[in-house]
Amino acid sequence: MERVKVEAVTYAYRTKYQTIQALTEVSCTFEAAKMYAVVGESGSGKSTLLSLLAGLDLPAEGDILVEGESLRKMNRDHYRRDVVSVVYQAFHLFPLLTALENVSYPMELKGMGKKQARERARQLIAQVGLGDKICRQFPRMMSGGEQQRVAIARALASEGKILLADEPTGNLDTENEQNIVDILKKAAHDRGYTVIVITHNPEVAKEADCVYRMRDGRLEREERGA
Amino acid sequence: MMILCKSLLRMRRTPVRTVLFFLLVAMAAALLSTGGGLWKMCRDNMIYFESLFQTIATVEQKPVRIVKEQAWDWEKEKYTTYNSKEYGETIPLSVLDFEGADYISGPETRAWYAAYVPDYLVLDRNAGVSNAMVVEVSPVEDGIPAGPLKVEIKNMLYSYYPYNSPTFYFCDHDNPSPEMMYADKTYILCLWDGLRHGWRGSDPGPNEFVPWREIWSTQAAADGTQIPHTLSGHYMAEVTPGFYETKEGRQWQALAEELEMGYWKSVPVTATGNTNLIPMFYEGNTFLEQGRGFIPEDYSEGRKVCLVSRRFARRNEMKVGDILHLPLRYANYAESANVGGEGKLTADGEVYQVFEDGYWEICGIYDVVPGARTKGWAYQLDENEIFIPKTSIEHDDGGNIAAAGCMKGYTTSFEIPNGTIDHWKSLWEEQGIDGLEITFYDKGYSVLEDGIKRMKRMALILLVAGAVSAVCILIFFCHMFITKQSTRTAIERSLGLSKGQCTASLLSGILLIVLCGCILGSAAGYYGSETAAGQITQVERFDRQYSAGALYTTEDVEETTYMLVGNWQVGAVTGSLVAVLAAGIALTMIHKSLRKEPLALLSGREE
Repeated sequence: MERVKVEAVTYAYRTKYQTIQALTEVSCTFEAAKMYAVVGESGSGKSTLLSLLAGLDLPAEGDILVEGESLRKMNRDHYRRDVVSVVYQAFHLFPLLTALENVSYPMELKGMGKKQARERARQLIAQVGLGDKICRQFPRMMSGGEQQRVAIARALASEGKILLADEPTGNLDTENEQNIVDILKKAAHDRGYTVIVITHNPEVAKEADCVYRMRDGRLEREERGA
Repeated sequence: MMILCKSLLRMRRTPVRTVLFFLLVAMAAALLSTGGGLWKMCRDNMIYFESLFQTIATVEQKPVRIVKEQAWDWEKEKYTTYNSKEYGETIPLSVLDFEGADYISGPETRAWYAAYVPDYLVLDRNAGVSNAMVVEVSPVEDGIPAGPLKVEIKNMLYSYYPYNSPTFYFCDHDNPSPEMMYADKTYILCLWDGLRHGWRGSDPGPNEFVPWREIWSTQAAADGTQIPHTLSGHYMAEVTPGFYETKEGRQWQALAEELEMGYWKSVPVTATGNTNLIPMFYEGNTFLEQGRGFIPEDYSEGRKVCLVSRRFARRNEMKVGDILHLPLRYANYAESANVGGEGKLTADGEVYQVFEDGYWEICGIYDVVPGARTKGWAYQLDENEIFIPKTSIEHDDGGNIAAAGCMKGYTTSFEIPNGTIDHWKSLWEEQGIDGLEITFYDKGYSVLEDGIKRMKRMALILLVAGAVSAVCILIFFCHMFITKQSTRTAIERSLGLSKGQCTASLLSGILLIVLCGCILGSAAGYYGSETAAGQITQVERFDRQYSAGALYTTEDVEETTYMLVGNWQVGAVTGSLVAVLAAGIALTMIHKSLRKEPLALLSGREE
């Protein structure tokens, strides 16, 4: 089932010194219950594509359709809260909130009661393979792998349909890398998420159901085994 | 609510930073509140003192030289030397009217007017004052009045008191070469019982009368210059048949008539543009016993109202609201009403006629503080002295000026704004006019003003310190809580918080701490300024002992206390200002923070 359709998207942004043509007529589709990898060199436009898919900005030209509805017409605050979740390379947990509070935050934001949100957060933390002990810990007390798992749990907490991951294993060792990839795959295959992973890592890309390569702002689908 | 709770939760988890922020905000608010409170208090006090204090100056022409004069004394049989002041040319009042002189009242040279009031009781007949008379006498036997010379009364033209004895002793006491008086001749004299010979010793000697008034005129024109006259200047004349048909004879009759009108049947009426210009009022040596003093409208509208002395009012059973008939005959610009004598004749040797015949309503009855210290006899008030607004006199007194002279401290004064003495003096020095002695009185306002100005400066320093520290503290902590938290904002944005929710999330905690700090700081500031107010109140009450009339009006004392109470509104205002400033700084920083693209921050892409 086609969940996200990117139609001839072009996007440029200005830095202090120049205008960067980040995306040029990018078109692609992302289906439900699949994990995608978007690979490419630094500065090729991967993060910009992620930003547009996350609804943090709009394309200059072209459009992004989510289940047939244009992002331009959607309330993008609601879109980010209800449809899409993002996991970052640097985890970006709230440093002053515990793991439990970090995970329950999106649910409380959506209006869920505190107690119920905490209960659900515990379940999600367990689902990403962390024990109950981690719940009361602050991010600075956790390892990188633990932080990323909590970040994924927080992403899953919003119960959206699209999970974007920007170099989710960039700061992790091999063991943790595999764990994270497994969790992401599970989210796609078991929970029906459309998981889009931006990565440099070919090992991670290899785990994806489909790989797109970004080159100079243009996107190409890579055939398996290529 | 959830956003507020999360915001507070984060602050609770950085207790050192949060507590420090709270305390520093409280300190800044306290500084602002104290400074603001003191500043407002100083300003209120200055306004209050302005209404309480007046700065006046008395003006007196300086003598150009002191000359030694001699007077013969037949008792001591030698000359007595005394000093006499020579004033030279009279300096006009107009010299005080110069560019930049900012007068509240005056400058004025006050006149007192002789009001002929035969229907009122002016003096107590039992007061026991000296006697005086205009009398025709003949010596019992020929003799030179170089000592008591017994004379027989031929005709009494005027006497203060009925004089029942047919004879008395006359001595031309101050005349070193008196002429022979003949028993077969009649002389007219103006005398008073000077009790000169032997009055100091155990033997009082005979009841001696000495010369008093002569046939003379000091009438002046409207510009103050003397009107030339041809009056004899004699205090004794020989009465011959047809004497009263002559010019001099009529003048002797006029003198008798004038004395008769003056002593028992006249009261002095002083016209002023401001009673505070009169030293006895200014120094607080008078107070209102009933009614009210003059109000600005009395002066500006020329209302016919008057202040009468308690003794005069009691003697005539008068009360506030009664109407006084005051026919004014002549003006005296030279002498104090308490000193200026009777017997003023016009330049033609006639009695002054009424130039203003009006009715004045008693608006207040004043009295003099018992034992009040004054600068001198001339500064004291006559016991019958009546005060009226200068503007209530409708007719020009220019043709009825019985005496004019140079400016004296008790006749000439002006009022300037408080605290401007030095400014006035510097302007006056620029005029280059010498010959006037100007004495300022401000009841200690300058000292008080200096103190308040010092406190105001301190208040200003506190205000500035408070404002600067508030700005620095708020900028620093807003930077810590907002700009340094831009990643948090980006995460919240990526989690779906709208910009408004992000703003609320960042602002709520900061504002709550700022509000708490402001309340604590403002309360501390209020307490601080209240303590200072208590100290000032004591100083002020002490100073009021010397203020005009204040001793007798309890309302003023209560008002003093009320005015100096610290002001909680200032704390509220300064606290609110800090809160508004905090909101402003925070919103600016939040706005700047929200302009950054969240993913750029979170993924590390630099734009």
